[in-house]
Amino acid sequence: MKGIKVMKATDICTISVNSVTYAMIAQGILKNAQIKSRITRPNISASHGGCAYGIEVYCSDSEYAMQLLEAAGVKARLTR
Amino acid sequence: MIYFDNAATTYPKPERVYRKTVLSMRECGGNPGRGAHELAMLAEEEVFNCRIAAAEMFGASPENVIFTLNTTYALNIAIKSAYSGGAIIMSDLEHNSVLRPSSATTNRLMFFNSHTELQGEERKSEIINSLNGIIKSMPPDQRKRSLIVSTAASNICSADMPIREIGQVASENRIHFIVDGAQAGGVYDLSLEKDNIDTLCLPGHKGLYGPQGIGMMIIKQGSFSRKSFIEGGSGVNSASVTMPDFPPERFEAGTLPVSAIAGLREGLNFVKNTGCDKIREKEKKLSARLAAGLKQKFGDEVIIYADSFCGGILLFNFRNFPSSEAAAWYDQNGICIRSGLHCAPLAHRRIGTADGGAIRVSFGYFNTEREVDRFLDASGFCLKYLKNK
Repeated sequence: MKGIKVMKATDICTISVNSVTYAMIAQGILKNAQIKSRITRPNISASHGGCAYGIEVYCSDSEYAMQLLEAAGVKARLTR
Repeated sequence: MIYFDNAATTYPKPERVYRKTVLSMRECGGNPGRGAHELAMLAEEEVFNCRIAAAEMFGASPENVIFTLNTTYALNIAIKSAYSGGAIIMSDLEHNSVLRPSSATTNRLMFFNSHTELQGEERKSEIINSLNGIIKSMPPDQRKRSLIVSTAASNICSADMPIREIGQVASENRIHFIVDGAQAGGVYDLSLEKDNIDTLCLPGHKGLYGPQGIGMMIIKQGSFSRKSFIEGGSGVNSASVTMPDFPPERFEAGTLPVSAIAGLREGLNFVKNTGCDKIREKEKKLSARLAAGLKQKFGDEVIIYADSFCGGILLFNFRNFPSSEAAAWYDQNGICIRSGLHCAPLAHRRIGTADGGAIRVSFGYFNTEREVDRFLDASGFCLKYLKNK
């Protein structure tokens, strides 16, 4: 597989957001910035409030993604 | 059949609305906001795309578009969740969907005059004077805890309200402003941002040409500090016993009607592509044709109410005959109109038709001049029937 970078699970970071609505908003913002993302249901314990939505991005994009979301007023939390 | 009851619900809908409603039910069958699997996300995309379309049309952000069952539910949520102990100030043209939830919330109801006897700038100015008079009569601490609620357009005649000017007064006095857009959505250009509206309540199935069973409460950015209204599952924060503290999920307990929402989005697209102005002009033209025809054909035998306003609704009676009897004749002859008080006793009192109501003809974009002419012909037979009865 020479020349192809194989993504490992450790390359994926999850950004938690309030709800699926904010996940859709966040995905739109990231798409405009050419950042690939996927909406997920992260495994969040009851002590963290229970069910939530998250955006998976490449960890290399995560900090920039967080900056973009913060600038757009989307409440988000990075969970590596 | 002639369908002239578009103020109750528009019919027919644009073909794309029917197609999309059925298609989304077949292909996007998941539960939005309840999972991240393919079908749930397809359903969520439909919901989110409709939020975007509505937000664009009404000058809001997508997360502030809250789906409800209809305008009445939206108004109930808007009024009861925003009320904080002052008075509820409303126009004298309000529908029961404003009057009843307000009455159930407080006995401190105050009414400003819609001055339907006036026109143009003079009318606007007198409406604002009436509203200002009420506000000035209140102690300052009560003002801030009060609500102003106004319809944007009456459901019994074509009178509209100066929403932007009312919004300006509300903003200057820091009073929460709720607009009932049941008749105006899709016909008038309403904007939360430009009109200083805090909460706009809309039906999906009237001027936005969507299916029944879907309405919207659209809230202004930053005006969110309200009690939840209906509690239940929201798909997030499930370990908490309270509803999420952010919109739209705070107000959207339970599963949303995805296919109705998908259909509504197509309705919004139809209105956007056609243009509110074009829709309003068409309805106005049909209404003017009918008013002129009724006057010409029946002279003093017909009374047209609030006829200085020309828009999509025309209210009339055959002199000395109850509206219900005429409506029954129209109904039996394949013409769908509505008689009585139209759930708006305040407005009928204002117009002078509270005793027995009147016949309401309401137009939609798909009505034609030919239908108006057929209605006029039929009305001749109707009057003859009433006289010979």
